Amino acid sequence: MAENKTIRVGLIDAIDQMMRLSDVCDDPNQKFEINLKVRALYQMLDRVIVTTLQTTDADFEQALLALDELTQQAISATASVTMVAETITKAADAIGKIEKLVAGVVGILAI
Amino acid sequence: MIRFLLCMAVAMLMLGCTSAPSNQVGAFAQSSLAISEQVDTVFDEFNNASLERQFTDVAANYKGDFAQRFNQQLLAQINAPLSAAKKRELAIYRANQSLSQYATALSELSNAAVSQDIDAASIELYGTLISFNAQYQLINGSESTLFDDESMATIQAAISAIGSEVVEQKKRRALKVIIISAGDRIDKVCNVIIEQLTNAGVADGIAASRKYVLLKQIEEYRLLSKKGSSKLKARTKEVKRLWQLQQALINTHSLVTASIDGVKEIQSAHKVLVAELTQDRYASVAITNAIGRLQHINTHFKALGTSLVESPSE
Repeated sequence: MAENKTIRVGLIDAIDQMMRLSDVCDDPNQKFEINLKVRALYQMLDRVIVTTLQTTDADFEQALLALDELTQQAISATASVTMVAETITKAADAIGKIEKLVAGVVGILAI
Repeated sequence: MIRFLLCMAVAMLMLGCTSAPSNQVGAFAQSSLAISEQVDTVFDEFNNASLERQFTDVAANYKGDFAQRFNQQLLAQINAPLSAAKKRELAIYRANQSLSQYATALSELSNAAVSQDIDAASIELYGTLISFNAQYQLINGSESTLFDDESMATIQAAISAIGSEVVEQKKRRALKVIIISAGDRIDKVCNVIIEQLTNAGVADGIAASRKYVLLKQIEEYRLLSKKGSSKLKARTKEVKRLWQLQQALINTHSLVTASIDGVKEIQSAHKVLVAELTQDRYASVAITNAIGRLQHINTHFKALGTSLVESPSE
């Protein structure tokens, strides 16, 4: 289950950065959108914790990469608010990839 | 009269001596059961923390200009991540259920007072061993079992052969056969629980949810404090509540660590029980010490108390 740990840590890092971004964002609409993405990331975290993921899947690598990119983007956007819209798009992309990853998994928490 | 009292005292002593061994097994079973129930609370808390986060999320975001977007559909999206049905699919839940059923049946057998009760409790205990097999197959997704047909038949034959011995002797024999037979299997079932608790990241999930709730409430506190009208007493009360939330967040991992320690202690105590019963020792210092350690873990769980299992409410 070390695989889950990697996605899990990636999600927790992304959530932390997105919440920081939400804190500094002055535009109420963008702030609202960021918060919706934070919610979706949390939902993914809940699901990942009770799922055994396959590291061999290409989907796994892509989800991991998308999470990392999202975290980096959110860090940059926290310093420069012009990048918020792009970060929201990246968040949607990462969420979609994790959703794809956990959607077909059978055998919850099976060793 | 004195002779009668002496006879009574001797009879009581003898009764005490004969029932003590089963009582030790019973104490082991009770403590194991309590620990097994605590393992379940980790998953309950995972659900509770997630739900609390979702409530806070909706309440924090659908305000001001966004209040109109709050609707029934939004409420319908709020869900506990582990439904009762989903929980039953968890390897850890299945393993923990097996452990708990074994402890319950062991407790019933050790408390059985008459021959028929011993027969019934022995059959029930034998049934839990069969259930180990089924659960283990499901957990591993394979045909491999903890007990092969031959060893099951041997256990069954040994239980049947106990027959009509005097009650305490019969009980001892049944306990010995079953506990020794269950030895390695209990070890494996405990290993499943320990592995899942260690790697699944449930504590991370609980902590992440608790952190969200805390951060949102800190945000709200900032708004409250900006108001010139807010009173020092009210702010202090609120700071105290936030501090309790912070403590619960810091200590989240203790709940899981204590569960892991508890299951390890069951594993170790059961090994002691097997070793002692193999030598026909139904009561010994080693068993007493093992039970003592189990009971200490239970006390520790209680000491963790509601501050860890539940977040303080407003």
